[in-house]
Amino acid sequence: MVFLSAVSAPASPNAELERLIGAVADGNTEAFAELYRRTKGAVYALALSVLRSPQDAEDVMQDTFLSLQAGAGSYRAQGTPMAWIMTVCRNHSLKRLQTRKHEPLPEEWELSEARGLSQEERVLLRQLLSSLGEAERQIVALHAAAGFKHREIAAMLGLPLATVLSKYHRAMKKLRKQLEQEDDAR
Amino acid sequence: MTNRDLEKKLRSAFEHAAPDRFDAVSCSAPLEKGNVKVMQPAKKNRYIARFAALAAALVLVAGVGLFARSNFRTEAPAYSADTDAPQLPAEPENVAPVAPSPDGAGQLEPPATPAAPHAPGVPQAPSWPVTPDVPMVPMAPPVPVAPPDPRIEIALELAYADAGVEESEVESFTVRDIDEQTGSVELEFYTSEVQYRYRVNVNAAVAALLRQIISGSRALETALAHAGVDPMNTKVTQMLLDDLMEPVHYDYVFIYEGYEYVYEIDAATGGVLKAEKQEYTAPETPVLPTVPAKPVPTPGTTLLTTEVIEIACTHAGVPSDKIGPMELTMDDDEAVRHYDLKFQYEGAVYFYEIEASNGEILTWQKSAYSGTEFVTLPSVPYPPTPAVPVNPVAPVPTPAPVPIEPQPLTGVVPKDRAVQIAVEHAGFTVEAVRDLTAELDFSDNLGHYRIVFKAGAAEYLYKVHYGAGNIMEWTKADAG
Repeated sequence: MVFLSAVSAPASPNAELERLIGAVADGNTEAFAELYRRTKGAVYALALSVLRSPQDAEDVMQDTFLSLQAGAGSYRAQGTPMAWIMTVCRNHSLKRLQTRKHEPLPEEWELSEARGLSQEERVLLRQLLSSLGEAERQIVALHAAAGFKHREIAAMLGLPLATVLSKYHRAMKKLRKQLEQEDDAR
Repeated sequence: MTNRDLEKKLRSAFEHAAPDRFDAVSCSAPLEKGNVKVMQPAKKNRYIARFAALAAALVLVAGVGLFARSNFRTEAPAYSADTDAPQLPAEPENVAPVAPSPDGAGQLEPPATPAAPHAPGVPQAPSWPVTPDVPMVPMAPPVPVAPPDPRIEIALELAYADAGVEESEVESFTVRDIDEQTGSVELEFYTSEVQYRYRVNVNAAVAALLRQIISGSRALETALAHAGVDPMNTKVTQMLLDDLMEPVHYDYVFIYEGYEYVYEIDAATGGVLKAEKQEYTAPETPVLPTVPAKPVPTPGTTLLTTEVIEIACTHAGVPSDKIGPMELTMDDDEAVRHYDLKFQYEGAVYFYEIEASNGEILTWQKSAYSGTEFVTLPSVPYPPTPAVPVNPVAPVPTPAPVPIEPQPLTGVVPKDRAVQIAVEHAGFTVEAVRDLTAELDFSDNLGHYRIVFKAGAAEYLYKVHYGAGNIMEWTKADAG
């Protein structure tokens, strides 16, 4: 007797996320935890790039995931769950920006040592917050952390593609240079 | 470190920086945000909703033609059928902001919407979630941009894949041509090292490599290194991609410490085809032309052709005995009788219209060679002579505008001049803009200044040709 096992093609990341969102809508808390685990980096990156404050970014993360949890039932699967998640995050970030009373001070950029960040990673994030302009930070966060293509970022931010490309390259050049200078200083 | 390596580090940094668990986030937040609402199971609703949709479809198929009244809001699709680019989900239309509750506690229930008539037994579809304690703030309206041509996006993807290049490595791209009949797109894109030219048949999803050459900046580096000069103190006076002769090569001329170097660099291999060096004597500083004296008009006479040539050459700042092929004709057809004069000097073509009776310059133009074609620089009508007031009590006339002084063509546009061209094109002065940066960029085969500045709420990006000073490209976006 020959057993034939049906081998299905591995689900794409987007399909996986949509499956998780569907499960969250059904009240599956494990699915919610998994959704959080898979997307927290990207959500935090965008929130941090807009707000420049780790504390505010964490608050916005909470708001974002609570909104995702509440709105999972109305999400219509169309193949871009990350675009939906990042829209919600960006909305919350911009709202927070408007209601915030003061700009974060440079000392507020420092990330907690308890997070398990390496020294290089802390330096990198500090440079991202201090050296890059607002659009550059968001473009780097959306591309490097969330994996969006440049043309998708151009559509999200309402910028020409050429502008996104040039800002991205300029930002990466700045970060690379800062890292090299830090290395030389050590 | 490549961009890819840096992206990996950033990704890892964000992953580590983000809180590990959701409940850890809740704990760090203020008390009023800790009221997590237990989710209501929506499973039942989803099944009923699906059943209702199926029932509606069956009714339609049966041909009854009843319009099923349902509670489902139809949302505009997030994707256009014609484009691959995902669009952001549309903001919900019927969401009302909810006033904060008196005790400041956040609420997580969707806001109450007016009850709409719905089919019996079919519950209302859930609304888009809204953070109820703060009114929804619309995102800043995007800068209106032309919708991206999906053919270009597809062509770029196919070309990158064929070239084995990641999108993140591409520094810029140019669309050279779109053939509407065949649906093919010709484009060029540059990494820091290589310039690719492709023709992509979008319909057939086939990308054909037309040309692959090293970038202009890399070729220039080769030339400078071969010559053993200090790049920071070298003045490049010519940079040209010669693709009319085989092998395709870059021509460079640069000056360093009293010597002029002439190089040819093979564009395919980066090899040095020609390297010459000779002593260099700087030409005398050209005297900028003053306003030419107007010949005293004699009624019924016209200027001599020699006088016309002198007037034009004085204005252009070129020696009249050294100009190249010249054409001079009298134009009687227009209202003002004038000479049309065209001549060449040092690779530029000059064109003048000079009034025949009094030598007044009516218009003038200068075209410079950009490396692939002649580019006409902005022409400026010669300022009119201020009218002499007839009535002594008449108001003083507005002073004539200061003419743009013609720049003698040297092959190099100074950075300050390029910045001035860009800023004035945008409608500002150099003093009025902020965060101004100007860098020389040889990543294409022409050489240009990349000028970025902010003014008001906008950020401008200009590319100004290095040799001719013309604006090659400009964009305006919301200041980041």
